[in-house]
Amino acid sequence: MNSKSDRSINVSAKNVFDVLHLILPSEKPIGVLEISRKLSLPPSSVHRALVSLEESRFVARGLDMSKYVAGPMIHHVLRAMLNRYSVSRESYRYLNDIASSTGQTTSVFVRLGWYTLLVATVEGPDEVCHARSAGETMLLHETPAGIAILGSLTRDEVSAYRKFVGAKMPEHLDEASSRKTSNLIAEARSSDFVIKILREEQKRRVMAFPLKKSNGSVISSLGISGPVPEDGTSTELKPDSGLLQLIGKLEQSLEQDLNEKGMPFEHVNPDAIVLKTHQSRI
Amino acid sequence: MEAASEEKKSGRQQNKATTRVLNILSLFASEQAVFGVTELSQRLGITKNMAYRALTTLVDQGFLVRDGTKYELGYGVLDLIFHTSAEPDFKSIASPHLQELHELTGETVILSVRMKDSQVIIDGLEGVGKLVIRLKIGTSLPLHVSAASRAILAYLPDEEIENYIGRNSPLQKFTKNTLSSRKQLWNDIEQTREQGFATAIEDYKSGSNSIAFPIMAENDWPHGSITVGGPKARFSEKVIKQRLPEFQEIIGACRKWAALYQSSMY
Repeated sequence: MNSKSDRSINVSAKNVFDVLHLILPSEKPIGVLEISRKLSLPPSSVHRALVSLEESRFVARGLDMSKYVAGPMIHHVLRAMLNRYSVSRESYRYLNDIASSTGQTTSVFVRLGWYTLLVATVEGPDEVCHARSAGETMLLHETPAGIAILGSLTRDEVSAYRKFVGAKMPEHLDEASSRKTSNLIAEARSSDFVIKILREEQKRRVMAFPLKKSNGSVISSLGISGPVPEDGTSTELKPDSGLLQLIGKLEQSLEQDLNEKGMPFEHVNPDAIVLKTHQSRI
Repeated sequence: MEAASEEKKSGRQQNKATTRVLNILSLFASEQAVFGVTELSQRLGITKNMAYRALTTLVDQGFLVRDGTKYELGYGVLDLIFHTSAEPDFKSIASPHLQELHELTGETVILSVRMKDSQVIIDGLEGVGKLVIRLKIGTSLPLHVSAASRAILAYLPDEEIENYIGRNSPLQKFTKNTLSSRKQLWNDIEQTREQGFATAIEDYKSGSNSIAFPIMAENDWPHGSITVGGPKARFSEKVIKQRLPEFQEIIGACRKWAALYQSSMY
């Protein structure tokens, strides 16, 4: 194949991924003309891209059949990537028990560069629960789970983190949130097991426990989240001995797994990992 | 005229190449594996040059990472998640494969899961024609009756099967073909394990035949089964045997996708 057709194939692959990245965040099905307008591409190119994407199940037709939504292959690819984290599989063995004992959504987060990555989650059995998705990524300071990890980093590493966010996404760490983050990191360093953040406006309560190796270094973190009780009788979830015992078992299991298999991307320079679509949701 | 035909040809070529790129990304997901250029080109029957170009495109997009000569899924895949949506459950994973089986045979296709000592129908598509097996979602049958049930029962640990027989003896009989003795049931279980599927010839209702395949879950326990069934006049043992390789191919694809979610489904 000559270099001219190589170039045209590269352009058409780029079109395909541009179309995909436009469809995914859209909360409503989206049609050829709208995509064509937004990407300034001829409808025929959009149509061709959609044929490839639909054939390989990265997109699917919406209910009216003329517009497109994310297809099942998106989930499959994401899940396969998450399965690279063997801690994900290990975590599920204990998350069901923890979710049952607390009634709340329970998730395990690992560090990926300067982000937390949710690798395993089990929804709480209570009627109203915090819906989370494996694969969610957030900057470390934006969630209690991330703060639990930040609390375990050296001061130099925390400075490097601030520099990274300041350079790449300054809007995510203004002066006020920077001060708040410093306080939370200090609290995380002095606390043995728990960080609490109450988001009254969202009526959600989130706790995070750093999951440590026997030498005290942090492997990952555990988040437990659910609605704040309406009656206001309890705004704190106090970890009882049963819960702490389950967390201890989870830590042991993750440490053993990590010693055997390691963590993907752990040797990648954290500054090199910039995720386009990280979400600041807790 | 010639220019238009050239353009059409080039468009087709581009489509083929981009579909290849997407299919390679799907392959990394379905196999959960690491591939090199040579291995991938052999696997897909394409030239090394084509494989290399597709892999390079995927690395450029951040979906794959290269480690020496090998490629694997990269963290750029995380950019594909935008808003909270639950991971697919067993029913949505199986759905396109039920559709394929239905299109292939025109017969009733059923998705079942185990619920204690029963098999429960959770999804399916009804056959086409005057004579069909009625699809009744929510229907449950004991684990020793029907191919759908026995495809699940056969893959439980031996002790679990013995406990089931103990709890449910005497085993309920629905037709003269229902396997109602311990010996008959164990013979069928051994055959099912050997073949990888269960068959039922008029063991629940007279006049119907079916074949069922287990879909395994964590720790090799069966999560459920997929059944194709029809009236015996049309869906005879001979037809089942002829269609078997096509059934196995479709079920194999379904099992691969279900295996991705093994740990998170429980």
